[in-house]
Amino acid sequence: MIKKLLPVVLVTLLGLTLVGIKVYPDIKALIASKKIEEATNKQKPNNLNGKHPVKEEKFPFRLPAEEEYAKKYPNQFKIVKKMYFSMNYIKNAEGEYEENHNDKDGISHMQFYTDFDQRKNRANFEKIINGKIVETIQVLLKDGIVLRQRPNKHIFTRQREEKNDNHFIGLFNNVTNSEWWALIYNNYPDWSYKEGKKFGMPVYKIKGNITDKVSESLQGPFTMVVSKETGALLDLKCYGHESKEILSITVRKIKINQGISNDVFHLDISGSKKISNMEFNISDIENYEEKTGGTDTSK
Amino acid sequence: MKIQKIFYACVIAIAGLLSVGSISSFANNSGNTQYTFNFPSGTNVDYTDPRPKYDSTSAWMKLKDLSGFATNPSYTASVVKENYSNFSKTWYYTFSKSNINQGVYLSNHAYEDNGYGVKVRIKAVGDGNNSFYGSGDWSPDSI
Repeated sequence: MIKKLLPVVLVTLLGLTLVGIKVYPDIKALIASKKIEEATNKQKPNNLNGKHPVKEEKFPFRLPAEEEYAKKYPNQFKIVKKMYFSMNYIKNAEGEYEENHNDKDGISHMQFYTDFDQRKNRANFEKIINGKIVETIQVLLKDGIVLRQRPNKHIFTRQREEKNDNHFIGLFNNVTNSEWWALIYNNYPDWSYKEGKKFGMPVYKIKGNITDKVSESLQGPFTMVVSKETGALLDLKCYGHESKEILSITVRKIKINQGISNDVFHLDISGSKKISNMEFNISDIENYEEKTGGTDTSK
Repeated sequence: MKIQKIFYACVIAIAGLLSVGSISSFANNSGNTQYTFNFPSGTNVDYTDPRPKYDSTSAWMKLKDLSGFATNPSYTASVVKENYSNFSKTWYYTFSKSNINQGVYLSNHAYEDNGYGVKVRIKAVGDGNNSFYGSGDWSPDSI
């Protein structure tokens, strides 16, 4: 009898242990989520109010030591600060650039016309794989209304811009408010710069090395070009260990603070079907499956 | 006897499927950047700077250092919008000394809610009375 029952007990225990391993993170996360929402009654002050998005006045050093370090390299830190606060210097911009994270993901081609003062954006995104456009998204933000269209799928979505949300004013533009200042922050001895000109603008031409402390995946030589007056990112190349480009942002055309014709703020959605935002967002994912777990934080 | 065999087969099959689901991949496709969450005395919430996200994959975070005066410092991380608010669904992950140098994948609903190019931050809520900071690498996307 015991001989018969023993395998049943052992296999059941194995099954229960594995179910426990699978379910434990969800239970733990649920408890953590309750603690977090209690702790986050006061959030960071929101700096996204107003028509023209602006950033806080003070650079957000994380640690006092970082602030002290920046004082030792004032000229280099000045470039970091200019990039970080670039949206404070740019009233309007139009341009075209390509972003490539690695070969298999293809190239992202972006074109944007953004009037930050009037809170208007007309931008296009194209995903190009092996020289062929495989996806296109067009966006128009005007008068607080956002239209997004996938012309090749004949679908579009229309929504009101949320308060305190800069998602659509900066969409398809990783140039005038670029995240990549992080590559030259707090690592001043690792890079140098000289001044020059690009697109008729005075620029900083930066050259250096990214260490694993700054970015594990991007470590290796890099070059960067930054507009001196506005902090806009005009070029970035990260070469990685094997000295081949693993990240590149190549600006083809750009004009900053030269005004934008009102005529460009138009999007023709005739012939396209209106669908929900979520349907639109996941329409490029084959066989999308809803993610399991998580806490409903929509209310 | 036949029922017993079917029972074993089912349990083993379910166990196999569950264990496969727990395995995570390692690579990530948007370059990592460094982060520091600082929790000086009296502050327990901090955020990374926002970065754009280009697909519906998990965000990724590797804690490399936890320092300060707290005895067992830890923080709980979640993916939030650029304006610090939650997406419609949120997953929470706790990081402590046992997670040092471990890449952790942070599930999120950013792409589903806001689509291509959505900017995300990682929000961290520190769990401790004394000041401490945690630092490492993160990325808004993963493979």
